[in-house]
Amino acid sequence: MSETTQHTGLAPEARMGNDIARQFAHLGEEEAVARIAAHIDRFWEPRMRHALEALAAAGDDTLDPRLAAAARRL
Amino acid sequence: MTTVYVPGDASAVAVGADEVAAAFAELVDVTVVRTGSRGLLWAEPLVELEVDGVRLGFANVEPGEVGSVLDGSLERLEGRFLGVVDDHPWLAPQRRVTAARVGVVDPASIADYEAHGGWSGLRRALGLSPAEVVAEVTESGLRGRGGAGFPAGVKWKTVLETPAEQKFVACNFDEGDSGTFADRMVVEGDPFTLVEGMTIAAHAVGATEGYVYVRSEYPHAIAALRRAIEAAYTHGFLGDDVAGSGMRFDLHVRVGAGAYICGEESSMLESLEGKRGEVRAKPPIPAIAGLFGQPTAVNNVLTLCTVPMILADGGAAYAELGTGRSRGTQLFQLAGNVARGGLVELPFGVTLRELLEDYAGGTRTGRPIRAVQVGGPLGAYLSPEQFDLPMDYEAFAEAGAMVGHGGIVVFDDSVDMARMARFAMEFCSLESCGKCTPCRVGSVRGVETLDRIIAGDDVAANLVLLDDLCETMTKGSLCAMGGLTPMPVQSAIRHFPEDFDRSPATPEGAVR
Amino acid sequence: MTVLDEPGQGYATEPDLGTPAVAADATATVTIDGREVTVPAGTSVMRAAAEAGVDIPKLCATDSLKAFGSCRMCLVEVDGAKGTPASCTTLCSDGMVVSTQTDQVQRLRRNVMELYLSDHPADCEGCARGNCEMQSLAVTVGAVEARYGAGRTHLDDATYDASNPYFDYDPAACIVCSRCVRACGEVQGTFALTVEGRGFDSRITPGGTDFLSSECVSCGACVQACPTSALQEKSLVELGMPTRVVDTTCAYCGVGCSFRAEVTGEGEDTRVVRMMPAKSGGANEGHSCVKGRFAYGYTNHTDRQLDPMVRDTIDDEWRVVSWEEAIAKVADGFAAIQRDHGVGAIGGISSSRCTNEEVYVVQKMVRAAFGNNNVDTCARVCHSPTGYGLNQTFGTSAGTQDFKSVEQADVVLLIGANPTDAHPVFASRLKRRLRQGAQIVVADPRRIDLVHGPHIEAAHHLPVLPGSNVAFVNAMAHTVVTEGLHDEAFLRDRCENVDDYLAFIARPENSPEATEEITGIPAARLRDAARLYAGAGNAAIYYGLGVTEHSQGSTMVMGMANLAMVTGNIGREGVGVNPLRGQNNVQGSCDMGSFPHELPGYRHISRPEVRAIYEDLWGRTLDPEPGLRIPNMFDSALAGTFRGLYVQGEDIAQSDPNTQHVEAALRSMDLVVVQDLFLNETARFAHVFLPGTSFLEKDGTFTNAERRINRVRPVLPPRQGKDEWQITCDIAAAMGFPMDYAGAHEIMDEIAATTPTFAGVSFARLDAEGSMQWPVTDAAPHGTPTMHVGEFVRGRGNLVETVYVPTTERTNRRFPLVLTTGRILTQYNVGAQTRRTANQTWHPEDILEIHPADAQVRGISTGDLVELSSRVGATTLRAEVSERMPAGVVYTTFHHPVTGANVVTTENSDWATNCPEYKVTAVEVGVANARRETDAEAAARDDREPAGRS
Repeated sequence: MSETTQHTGLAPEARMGNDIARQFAHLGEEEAVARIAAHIDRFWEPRMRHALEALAAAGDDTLDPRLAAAARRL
Repeated sequence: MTTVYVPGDASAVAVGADEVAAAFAELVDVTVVRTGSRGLLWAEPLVELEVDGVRLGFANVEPGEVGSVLDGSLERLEGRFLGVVDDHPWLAPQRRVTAARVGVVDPASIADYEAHGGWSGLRRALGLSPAEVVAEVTESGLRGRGGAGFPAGVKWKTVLETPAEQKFVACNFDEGDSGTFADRMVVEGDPFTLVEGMTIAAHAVGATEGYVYVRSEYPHAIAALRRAIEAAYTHGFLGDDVAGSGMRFDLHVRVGAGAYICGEESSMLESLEGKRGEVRAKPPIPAIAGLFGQPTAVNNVLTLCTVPMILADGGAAYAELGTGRSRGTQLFQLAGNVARGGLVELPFGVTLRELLEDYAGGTRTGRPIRAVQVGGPLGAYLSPEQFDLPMDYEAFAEAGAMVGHGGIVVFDDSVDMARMARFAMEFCSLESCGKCTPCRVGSVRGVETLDRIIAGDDVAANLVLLDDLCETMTKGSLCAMGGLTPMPVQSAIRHFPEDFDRSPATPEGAVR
Repeated sequence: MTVLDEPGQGYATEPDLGTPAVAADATATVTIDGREVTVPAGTSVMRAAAEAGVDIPKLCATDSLKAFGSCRMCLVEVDGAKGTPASCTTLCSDGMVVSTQTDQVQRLRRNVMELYLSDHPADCEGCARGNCEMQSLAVTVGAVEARYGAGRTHLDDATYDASNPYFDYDPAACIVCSRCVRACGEVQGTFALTVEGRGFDSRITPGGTDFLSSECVSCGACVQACPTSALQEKSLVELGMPTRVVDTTCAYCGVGCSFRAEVTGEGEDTRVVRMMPAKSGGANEGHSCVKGRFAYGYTNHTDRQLDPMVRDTIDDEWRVVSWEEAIAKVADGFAAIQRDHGVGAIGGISSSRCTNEEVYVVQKMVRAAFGNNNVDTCARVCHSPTGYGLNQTFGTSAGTQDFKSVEQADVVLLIGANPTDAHPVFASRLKRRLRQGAQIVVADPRRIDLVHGPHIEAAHHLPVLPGSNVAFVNAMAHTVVTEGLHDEAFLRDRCENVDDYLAFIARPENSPEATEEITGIPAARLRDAARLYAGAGNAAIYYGLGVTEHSQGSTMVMGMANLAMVTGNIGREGVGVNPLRGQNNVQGSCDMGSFPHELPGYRHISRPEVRAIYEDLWGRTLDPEPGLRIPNMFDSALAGTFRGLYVQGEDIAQSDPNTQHVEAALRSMDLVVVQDLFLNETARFAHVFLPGTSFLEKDGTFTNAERRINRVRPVLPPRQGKDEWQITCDIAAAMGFPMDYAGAHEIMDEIAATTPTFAGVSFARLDAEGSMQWPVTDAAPHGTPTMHVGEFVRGRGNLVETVYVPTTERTNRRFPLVLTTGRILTQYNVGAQTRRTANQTWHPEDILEIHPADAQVRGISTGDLVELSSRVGATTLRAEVSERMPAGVVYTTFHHPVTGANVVTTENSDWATNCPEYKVTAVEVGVANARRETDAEAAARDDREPAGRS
């Protein structure tokens, strides 16, 4: 999922994932990554999770680093 | 330095008192003190000259005559010199309690007020518990002077015993009855008495805020009252710490907009709340849910102005005056077709005849008195056979009449009582608030029915219809306005039936 | 609560006991005409008599209004009391003996009635119509003629006022009983009516003008209250008196008012004469707004599509087909997509305007027949954060109170909601409480009517800048906690994570001083407001979409829950956290398992024991993974992996954010199925159109914002020939998964059997009880008005550390203003219904409100056409210069497709639920020379006449 008519220019998974990651920015690295992963696990459709994993695996630099860490843990 | 007293009362001003005062003020060595009126309205402007500590009176003084007052030449004119005012036969037999200071003191001077016994009632009251003040007022037998005659102590007790965070006292100064002016004269001549009376009432019932509802037609009284309230604040008799007692009481003046019905207490409260002046259904009574739904002691000016004397001299002293269950004094107002109109304060029990003969001195036209209306436009018409009635709430009620606010309006033998009956209905139709149907529609139908009677149109049937209507209004109306309008109508029919026994106005002028 | 008329059982009005019920523990026993009756102390003699079965004549009294005592028809005699007191204003006292039929009172009543008749038109049309209490009463009391002869009447200067589109005012028939004036004040709280003049010249007037030009909000309370035909529905004048009544539920906002549809005719010829709010309705207790009472004409509008239609491409013309052909096309098309692109390539969207039963079958079809969890509902774009936030903190995705609870509140904290426009009937209840002395704090960027209005003055208006809610609520809680105003005992007894939360909230960055710049609220004022809330005996939070439709919507919901918990304002009447739901069945559609991750009753799809319930019943294996949410569907469509969509009663092309994005997604799909009343914006991209039913044709239930399950009963047969739930079932069956129900009641039976919180619900129980608030269980067989009493649903209340994370949508030099959106009274959502009624009279177009300072620098005056542009799009609309908005913030409604407010809104969304951030869009506004072309096209499409009445 790449093309977008959205103004941020981000892939939807990156945008939504970053939104989640920002909510847990106040936590320590370990807890934040766990909470981000748990949220995505609970609410995201598998294809979206896979797309996120793919972005993380490709080293997409638009991902919040903690989101990327969480993606690798899904 | 000579001191002259010139009334500033509206009734005196209306006949030139301001010009007289101005003329005196132009003279050297003359101090002019503006007072209220002594109540001898037939003698206004009544100028008093202080000589050796005694006040000598001069009646109907004109501006050009001020020199004659001072040089004694007016003393020689028949009927113009009244001698020592306090000893004048129109005044001396009166029993001035509520109006004791009216016409005597300078209403603008709080010092003068205190010098004449002012604040002593309040000072005593503040040393008593609220319940003790209520008990004192109850003992005095004081009843509501607005007309209903409800015991003031009982009303206050209800307010005192109704728990609430905020309570009010409200003074009904919407004096609108025809032929009445006592409220106005007392406030114009002695406004601090009202301030003191309301403050005592506030202490007695636990109120911290008071309102005076005054009709806009009384600009002089409004000015006098506002001046007095301001002075009372300045001297610590109103505000956060009344007379150093720690009691808080704020007093406000609210001016009405010309509706007779706002003299009815619940309409007055509606108007005070900024709403349309419309009667409230009772219950709840205002003592429990009054202004803004809070317990409120609503009293007439005269009731409240009597309270300082009662507290100063004790309830028992006041209760010694009067007759039956009507204790104390009443301020009778003589008006209409009278030779000598004015304010007469006497204990209850005086007869109507005494007032009409000894004080009013018969009619101004010199013709015989045919009818007297007592108690305002909703009061009964009385015929000469009833003139020996004592002024007493119960005696009047028994006679199908009412003392009301003490207004007495006199008519001579030229009066057409059918037209007076029509006037009663017309007055109701003009002043009805419009809330309840018997008053709103009934008064209009009453006028029309009386018009038919006056025109001699099917008189018998219309009198029956009128009787039905009067019953409907009396028993069905929401407040006393519609409920009492039949009183003058039916008393007129009862005592003066000949005026209703009309023939049709036909070209032939048929005679019955 | 009682059901007064079974559907179709003939016409009777609800009983009128004359004066309102009194709540009191003490009682009084009185004897009325020999009948003894015991009533709560403070009850009027009139009401006691009615309860004893004694009918006392009355004209100015009605039990929705305080006793007034003006008509004097209800005079009675009381033993031992003098005179003939009015029974409406006389209160019962123990041992009182009342006679209502003595010769005296009968004579008085007859003579009073004679006075009424002496000033009433001889040829009164209301009398002819048979809708006049006075006429019937005249007969009852035996007053047939007026003896007074010709005299003054008020008839000559009576000018007929037909200005309101829904009702007429005929002063000639008026008896000045003031019921209308009092209803406008006491019931509605608008105070638009007054009595002008006095005595015989007293006239009822909407403030010296005609009704349409007045402050009247057309709620109809006056019409309902009028005992004569002075105020009369135009529909009743046209159609005559109704002949029967069907009890049903309004289909507009989440208040969920109960109505008695008063109708005439049978079957397909049934005509609605009027909608009368039911006094027995738990949500509305006899009140209504202009939408519910009057704006039902859309059901009969000529735009209504009654035939299934298909087309091969969205550029083709529609072709009317049979139901069978349409359904086959849907089933075949979806099957083909799944064959070519996978099971997950299709999905469905259910509607919050449809019944629980209709919604339930949609999610069932998706989960069982489609075999995936790609089901979502329009609650996604409004209250999904409520579900998430309240579930996280309290353990249940719903508001905590019933509406009546506000009558016990001492302080109301209203956040991001505008009830007088969007939830008018609740607003009336709230205003009544405020007039009784409760205080209100309004936190909203806009100076809404509850900030200052007739007899309403907010203690504080806190114009929170859009996007800063979390900072605001944290500062409130910070003040409470650091000033020691919190309820330590409640926290220790009832909550968890207490110490962590207290430490978090006490941090200096959460102080009013630190957040002042973010929220725009002076610290001292915020502190005062927090003290007021914390110091109240009962403090209640009410909120709307101004909370949820943000990128931190879910956080904000949790922040409010925190605030309620730290002050102990949960678990009794008068308190709580209460969402004001946008649509009639938002609560229900969420309850019914419309979210892709949840089965009915908010149970996660991953729970095997829950799936087993359905798998056993349905005989299909359910996918344990969450499905796509609506915005995910659009993203996936553009990515090519999502190609077929079934949309029930929602106009996503107009209502969802970033229209350009939505339209591109819809365009990219192979099969879009729209099921709706009208060819809406979304239908422009559809291949199959399935005509739906209006609420007047539905049989089922709606669940309102207070969890109240109300019956919706068919007033008319389905105009297109098929129940909506049946359409869904037919599609499922055509796809190989039969869903057979003999009627909607069987669907509810299935819901009850599979959902614990609905265990005790059935149509029969609802018919008997009137309505019930879930949970309805063995422990609470009549339902649960107040939740979390004694214990939270999740056990302990969870205090969540609600860190403020600003939105990424920022103003800059190009887009220096913030756009926020809302509703107006007479229109509803995308306007599909209300634009097809005479409600168009009041609000024919969307207006951009802009602060005078912002307007001045741009040269904008009221009435100017302006261009509103954001990073994603632009539109044109008319401006109104208004001080309701703070400088820097502009506001518009989104009711008209011609405006297309969502052309400018972005894809930003709530982090947890993807609820769109409608309330924060950086924009610029400038004077426009003409409407934009695309808008003009939309205008052409939308060039429709307002509806006639049905």
